[in-house]
Amino acid sequence: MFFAQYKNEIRRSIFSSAFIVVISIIFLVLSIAHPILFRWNNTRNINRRYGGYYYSGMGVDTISIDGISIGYDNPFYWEISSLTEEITRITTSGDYADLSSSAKELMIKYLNLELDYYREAAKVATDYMDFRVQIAYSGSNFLNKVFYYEHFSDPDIEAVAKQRLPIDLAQTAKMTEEERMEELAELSGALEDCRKIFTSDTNAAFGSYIKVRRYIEQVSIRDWNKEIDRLAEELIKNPGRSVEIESQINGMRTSIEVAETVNLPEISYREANKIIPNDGSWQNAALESMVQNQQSFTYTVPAKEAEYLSSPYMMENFDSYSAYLRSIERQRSGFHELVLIAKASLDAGTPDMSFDRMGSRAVSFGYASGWIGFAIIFSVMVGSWSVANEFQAGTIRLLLVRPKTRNKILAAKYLSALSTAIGIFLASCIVNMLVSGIVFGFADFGNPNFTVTGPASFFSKYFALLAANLAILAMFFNVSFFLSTATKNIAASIVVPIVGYIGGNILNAYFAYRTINATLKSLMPYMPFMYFNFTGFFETSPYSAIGQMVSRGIEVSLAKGVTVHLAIAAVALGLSFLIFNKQDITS
Amino acid sequence: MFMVHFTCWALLGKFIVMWKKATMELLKIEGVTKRIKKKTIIDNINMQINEGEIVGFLGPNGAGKTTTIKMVVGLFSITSGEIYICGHSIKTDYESAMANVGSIIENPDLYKRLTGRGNLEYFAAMHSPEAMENIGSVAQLVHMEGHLDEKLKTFSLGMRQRIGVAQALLHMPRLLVLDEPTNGLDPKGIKELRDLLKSLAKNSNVGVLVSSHLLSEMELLADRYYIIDKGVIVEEISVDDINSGGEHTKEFHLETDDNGAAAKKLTDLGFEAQVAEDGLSVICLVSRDDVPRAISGLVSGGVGIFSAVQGKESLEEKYINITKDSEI
Ligand SMILES: Nc1ncnc2c1ncn2[C@@H]1O[C@H](COP(=O)(O)OP(=O)(O)O)[C@@H](O)[C@H]1O
Ligand SMILES: [Mg+2]
Repeated sequence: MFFAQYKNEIRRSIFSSAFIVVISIIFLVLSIAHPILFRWNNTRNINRRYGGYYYSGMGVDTISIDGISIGYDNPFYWEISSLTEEITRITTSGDYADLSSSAKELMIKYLNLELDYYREAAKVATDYMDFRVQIAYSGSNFLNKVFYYEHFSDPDIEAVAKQRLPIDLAQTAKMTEEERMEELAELSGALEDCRKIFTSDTNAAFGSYIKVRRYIEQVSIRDWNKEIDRLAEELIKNPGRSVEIESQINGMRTSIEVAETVNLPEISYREANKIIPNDGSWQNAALESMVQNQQSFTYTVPAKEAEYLSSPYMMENFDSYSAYLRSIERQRSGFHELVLIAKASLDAGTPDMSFDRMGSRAVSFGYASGWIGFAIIFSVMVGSWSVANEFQAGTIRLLLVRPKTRNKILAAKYLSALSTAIGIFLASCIVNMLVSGIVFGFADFGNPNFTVTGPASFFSKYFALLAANLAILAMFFNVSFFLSTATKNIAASIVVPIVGYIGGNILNAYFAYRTINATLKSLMPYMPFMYFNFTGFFETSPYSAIGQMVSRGIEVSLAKGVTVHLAIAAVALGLSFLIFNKQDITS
Repeated sequence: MFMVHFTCWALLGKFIVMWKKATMELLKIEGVTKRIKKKTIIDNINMQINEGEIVGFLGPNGAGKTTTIKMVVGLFSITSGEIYICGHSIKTDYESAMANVGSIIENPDLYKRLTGRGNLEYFAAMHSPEAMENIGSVAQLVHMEGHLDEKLKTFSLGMRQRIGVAQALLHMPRLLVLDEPTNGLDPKGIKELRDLLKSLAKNSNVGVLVSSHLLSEMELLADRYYIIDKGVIVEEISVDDINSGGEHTKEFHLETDDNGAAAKKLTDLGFEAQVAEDGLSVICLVSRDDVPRAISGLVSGGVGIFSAVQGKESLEEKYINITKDSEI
């Protein structure tokens, strides 16, 4: 009997409303278009992600090198054109006027050398995402040093270096002839390796990439060690500056630690597994995530208590030094967790969803989490329309004279409208999943996601997200449903929750990064507006807004969010029935 | 146009079968009071309607007709007292009570986005399964069968009223409650509605409660009246009382050769009598049974009588008296 009335409501009430039908169709179209647009937009973006995009249409001339035309989208376009201009201006418009004519000659010689170098680079590293670009820039650094040491005996070199070469002249002056020759040999070797990267043979170029990067790390470690020795001597001479010097030494030790335990192993891992940077592979994304979080993990160390006490910022943000320590520990474990996920994913040879943004999993998860706002607005509209519509149209007088108690009539209205609001969202999620599968391949759905406790099915995460989203939808729906019965006015019951939604998001953004007092801090986790979007709770990143809040001691959590929403939903629903049952139909 | 056509006989037959299961009392209102925010709107009223009876519910605007009817159909709560429909208390046995009543309260506002049929189906689905099957025949009864599949928003007011009547009949209720049903109907529509209600009452034993603030609309329809004013039932009167008399007093206008003497003589005989304002007649309040006694008293007193006519119906007199200080 009750089900008959539910069906009656769905068929003749809800789906007779053009408005609901139109929104449902929009939802469906959205869920189909989302993966398709995602794919199309991604292909487009890869081509214009950097550089070129911003200068397109500015009418800059292309440069021709050995018959190859270099446009503004080439990563070295600006170096080449500005060097070319610099060279012409030395001879024609008197730049570097304070240089002697022989020094000018030397300068032109150097600039031409650099120009040739970039022209060579521009021919092979044609887009910003090419891994050669990074090495090419490092190489230019070797280039100027090599030039300097090669021309050390030239009387004009000092003038040129002062103007154009980033060389610590005071330091090189102290070096012995032997040391200089040694440095020159080493740098020339590195420069040669850099030049070897300028080949379209990716394998050969990758070999050079590994070599150069390793060299850079090793040089850095060597330099830091030297600097630490120097600082140690200085410390003996100036014990009064011990706090400052020790902190410098500690900083360098950490850098060495990162180079040795993170960067060098990364290079070896790339070498062993042939993971080419920026090649768009998930392995590369996983490795980058691992490196980044390992670095963050190493650099995130708590300040000493004295330092904490002398920083008003830290004092304001944390209740106590121990709270501060806990927060740092939390951030570190967050970073650590991400490292473990990346590592597990690489070890298993299957990507975690987060490393494969163009996979069915990531796209369908992105839809279910990203379009919740639209679903909220839709639920609010359906919930508001449901009862208030009857009052505004006057049909309530014909509806409530039937042999059904008001509780039954309201329950049928409630369930039919709620199941529509939720059902359309879920249906669009399922359609989106299917279309994602078609566009990006169904196989990806079988890949597990990685957690600290081991691999887990994608669906356990996906359905957890959907379930949490349903709590949000139920809350917004029930509040509008309550307003609909209480105010009997559609517009009012739509506007109030939507203003609440927008206002809540503003409040959320306001509090996310703001210093707040202890009372607010303990209240915040029970405020519904902290949970208008649950996406953040499914990301581990300590950088996310939620990660930031948790690390500042605002203990928001998924469980609290769902509980708060369901509690509000229950109260709103109870009040709806109470009001509807009692009221006289005066309209 | 509400005339019962041959094609509708089948339906009427069904109505008869359903409604013949006799209960005398279809509606019983017992000591009902309605207070809204401490203001007493209906004060301890009693009413009842039997099978086959059309009862007019008369009263000036604001008297409490709609309030009473809304309590009967469950739109208003009852502050105190009891209402029974076919013996079912609407307080304790709501669904059974409601299954026996069809109603139109004020304007029948229907769903504009649905067709005529869609509207009827939506309401029918809330009744027994037969209600859904009755849609076609009820539509014929109100002559809307040709328009059922048109959207309601294209209907004229008259057409909407017909669908309004149809929705009240879908489940073949034993009691019909109509609140000012003639609002917005043209004279032809009023006559059709009147014919339909009479036919339902006569052929199918349906009890009908019709409210109105205009007596003229009721005169040809109702068998009995309740007159309400300021939330109180001030009079219950039946057409039989009016027409065939009995002990109820009525106004008689007597033209005599000496109106002053006639008035005095009648007063001496114990009747209420006075000379009319224009002085041309004597007005006497007398029950039908007492008319011969009054006339012979006058004759024996030597008063010459030219004519004796029953004055305007005392119902209208009463209604006008009641409503003279209320706006109609
Ligand atoms: N919801 C209400 N709140 C306060 N007074 C009301 C309400 N509904 C009706 N009334 C009052 O009750 C009286 C009876 O109204 P109503 O039943 O509509 O009269 P009728 O239908 O006979 O014209 C009127 O005086 C009206 O002002
Ligand atoms: Mg009224």
